[in-house]
Amino acid sequence: MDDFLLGLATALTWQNLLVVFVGVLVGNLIGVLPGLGSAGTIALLLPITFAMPPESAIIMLAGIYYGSAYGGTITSVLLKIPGEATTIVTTFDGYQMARKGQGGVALGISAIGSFVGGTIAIVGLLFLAAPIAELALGFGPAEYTLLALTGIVLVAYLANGGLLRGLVVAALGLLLATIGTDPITGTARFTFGIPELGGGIEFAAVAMGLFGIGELMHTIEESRRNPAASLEYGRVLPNRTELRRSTAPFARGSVIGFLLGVLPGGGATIASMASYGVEKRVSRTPGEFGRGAIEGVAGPETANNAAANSSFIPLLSLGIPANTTMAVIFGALMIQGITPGPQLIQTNPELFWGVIVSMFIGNIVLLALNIPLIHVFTRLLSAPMRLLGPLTLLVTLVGVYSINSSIFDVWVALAFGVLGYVMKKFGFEVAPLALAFVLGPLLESNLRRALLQSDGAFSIFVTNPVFLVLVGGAVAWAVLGWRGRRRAVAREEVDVPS
Amino acid sequence: MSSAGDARQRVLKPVGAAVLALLGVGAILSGVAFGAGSVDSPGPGMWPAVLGGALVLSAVAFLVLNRDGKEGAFGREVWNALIVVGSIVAFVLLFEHVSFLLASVVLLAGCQVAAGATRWLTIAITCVVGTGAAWLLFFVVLGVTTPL
Repeated sequence: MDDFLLGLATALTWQNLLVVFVGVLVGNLIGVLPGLGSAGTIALLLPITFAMPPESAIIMLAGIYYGSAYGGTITSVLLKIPGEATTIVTTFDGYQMARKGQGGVALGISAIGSFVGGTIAIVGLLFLAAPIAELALGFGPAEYTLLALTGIVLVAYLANGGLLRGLVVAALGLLLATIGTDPITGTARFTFGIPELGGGIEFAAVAMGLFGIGELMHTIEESRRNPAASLEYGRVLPNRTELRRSTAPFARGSVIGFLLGVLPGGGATIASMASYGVEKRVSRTPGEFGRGAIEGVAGPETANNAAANSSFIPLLSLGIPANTTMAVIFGALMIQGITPGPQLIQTNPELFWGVIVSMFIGNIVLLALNIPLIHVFTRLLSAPMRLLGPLTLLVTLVGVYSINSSIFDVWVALAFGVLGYVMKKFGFEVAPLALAFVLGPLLESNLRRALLQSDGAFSIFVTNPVFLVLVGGAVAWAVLGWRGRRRAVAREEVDVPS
Repeated sequence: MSSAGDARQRVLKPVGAAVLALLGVGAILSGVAFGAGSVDSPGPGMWPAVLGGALVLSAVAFLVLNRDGKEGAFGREVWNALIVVGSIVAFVLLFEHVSFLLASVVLLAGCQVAAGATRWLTIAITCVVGTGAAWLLFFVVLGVTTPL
């Protein structure tokens, strides 16, 4: 109770109330504009947070994250263009609802679902984050090696381009993370006599390059063929029948989102997709899905916000970012001189509890902003990206420079921007690279320490309880996937007349 | 896929795999030079060498197994991307050696042209307003120092 009160006292200062409002608003605005995702926006705004106390900085960045998760819904529903990857499935039924003149209802249900999912996830975060952190205090190098490896492999597995491409990109990210001084022996690696590389590559420059410059290059390219926006959306508040149909999807979406958000490598995108699958499976009228079923909007929108909030559990409790946005927030904490992990709850309790409690406030702000201000957000859709793209690029470049007043960092960001652009052209996703880059030093140093501890015996990993839990999880995942495929095949056989 | 796409993939796929393999071999050689150590006492070069090996293997796997044909995604629009990159390079050089104001104007104008803007008045207004706003935000409000 004392911890909750400490969090409340931190979150309710006027400065933190202001930053949570600004964070949610900015997240919403960015989510509405296709192009720059939440990871890019957070990377872009990192320099502005340097002057803030750490808890205010993270409260604002967290607000951007869950704010953008909702903002992306608006373009998904009205334009069939997902502003964020987390709202791809919302295009299936949300856009169909908009075509029937029910776009406002889809947006209203999404706002309510986001609030419900976010709130339930925060309650879970409140009760689970501290016990997990306490458990993790007993973790050694072997456990951290396994957790970091699992996070990287899962992100590679879930990447759009397929497992092979995901693993290639992750290996590249791990290799790039070795540039600089070796953490154990102090040997200079891959520095090529360049003094700026001695401390390694600045993560903010990597993130701003990959998610900022690379994405903006695509956005500028795409702006030549942006479709005209239809801004008709009808009433926003759902009626009693629509709310009744959405209640069960809200509940299921909250649970699915919470669980998948906690998993290393999981997150809001996969949670929304899983929720859509579940809603379609339990529906008495699955044929309505894809034609404007309100359940197909309510479930995924609840799940993606629940996952956005619960993905803070591995970051705050274990120091392991579950997805790329968390990786950027991890970088923000490191820049502030704070190492995320199980000690965080003891060394920075005001940050730990303040961030969690501020999410409650942020979710209320999200709901309060989105229902009355939907008109303002939809107006943004008519803003031409050929003007906004170059302006955002300018802010990104000066932002990179401002971190260390270093022109070298701007060149690094440009190099990663071009890399990100080319990778996307070749069908490679950049998320595994960014996550592997962040987790690389943690993985390498813990792997080497574990091998030193065990005199080179790999049994230190395979006899570890964490390993057994992970293998159990992988087996359960495979069995569930196999059963799901079997059911799908059986259903197809019934549907197809002989 | 079209025959032009097939031809592009026949060239780009081995080139991509070769780049990966070269990176991998470089990492292995560098890892050995840093001192790989042994399994019970890993040196600073072991991890880069392991990753280098993984890159070489994945380059081979990519060449043999990957048949999705996503290597042919480059089209005419790549010229717009090159204009953006050129504008950024000009921005960095001008920012470092001449002035932020000129650098910003060049960047904004170049990127707007790449994005398809055609009205010179709109381009000029965006350059002036954007440059002024960025100057105010970073160099006045946030107190960032210029490299000059």
